[in-house]
Amino acid sequence: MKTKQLIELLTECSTPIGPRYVRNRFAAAIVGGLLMCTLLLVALLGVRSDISSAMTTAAFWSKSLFGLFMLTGGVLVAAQLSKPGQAVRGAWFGVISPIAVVAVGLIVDVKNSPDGTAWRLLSDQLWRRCPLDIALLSIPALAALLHAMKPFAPTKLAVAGGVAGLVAGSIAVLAYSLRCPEVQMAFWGGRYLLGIAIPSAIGCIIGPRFLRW
Amino acid sequence: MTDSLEVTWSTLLAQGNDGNSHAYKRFLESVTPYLRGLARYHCSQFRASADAEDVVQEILLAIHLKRSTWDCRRPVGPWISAIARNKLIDLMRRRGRRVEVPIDEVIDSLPYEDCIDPTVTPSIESLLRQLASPQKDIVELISLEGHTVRDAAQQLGMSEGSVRVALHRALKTLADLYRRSSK
Repeated sequence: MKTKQLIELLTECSTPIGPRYVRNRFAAAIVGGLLMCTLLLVALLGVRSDISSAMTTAAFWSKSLFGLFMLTGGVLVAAQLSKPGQAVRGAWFGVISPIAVVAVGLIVDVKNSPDGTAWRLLSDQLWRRCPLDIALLSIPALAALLHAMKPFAPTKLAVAGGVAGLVAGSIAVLAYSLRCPEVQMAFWGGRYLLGIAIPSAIGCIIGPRFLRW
Repeated sequence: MTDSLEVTWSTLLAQGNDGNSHAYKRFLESVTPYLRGLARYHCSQFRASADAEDVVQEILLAIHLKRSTWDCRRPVGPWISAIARNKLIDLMRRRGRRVEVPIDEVIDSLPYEDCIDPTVTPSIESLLRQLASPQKDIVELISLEGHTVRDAAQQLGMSEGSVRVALHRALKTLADLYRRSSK
């Protein structure tokens, strides 16, 4: 086929592209992911029994806001990464700041707790349930996000996959905060961060294979 | 890359994305000689000159399939360059070479090379043969025989909508086949 003929073909195939195409795909993936994560949570783990009183506490909202900020920060980065020739730069701040806030809060909380309990707070069952639960919940959200990103053109595939994982983890954190009873940042900070790190790592690994174009 | 080219191309592509197919065609036709110059330059560096027109077609196909990722508030030059660079790297991988194609080089030096259409490219021909009907028929009707979507729809007894869908799928399949051939 001559190039001229290919151009004919492409022209005949050109349907209008909405200016919100990328945005809409991400929005759909996030809403779908949130729904699936919440359903999975209700089915497998259950919502905490004192949810109505919990929703009046600051701890509940800190956890939810953390999830929300990571989600929005992550999506902005992911959207930039999906467009070729566009550097991310400043948008990383939206992801780094909630992580930094939680990390600092975690350290402060540990420092301020009485001797002996501090390390126990951090390390007690650190590797168990919580991060793995979040990672498990994030799976449908990660699938939805990667599927949404398939028609895009990221030039850094591992990073794009990793950020998709980060967003999926944040969605899972949002759902998980409906169940998690922990109050102190020393408890939930590290675990939530780890819970988000796991799908991010998975996304980094499968990104190059799945997002290639 | 000159400012006037940037303005021309971004205007045409913006109109094309809005649904103006004449503008879209003019965009593709205007970009092609520059892609060709680029492809020939990089391919000759790796003694793969015969692949140059293949690369041009791959880049055009990628531009088409990924046109939703261009933010019309941003310059179109870096967007085209990033796509072209990506496809050039794919080609080099096919040739078994690891190469860094610096993105600045791609944007700044877009050599112009027009020509009366060179030989029919073997890659796309063999890939097209792998398409199933009706995708193959539609592609042949439109590209080789110069029919419009409406004519093709009438000839094949399909609706215009389903022809468009099948055509879009055929192009996506083509891109997948190109990608698989680079492994």
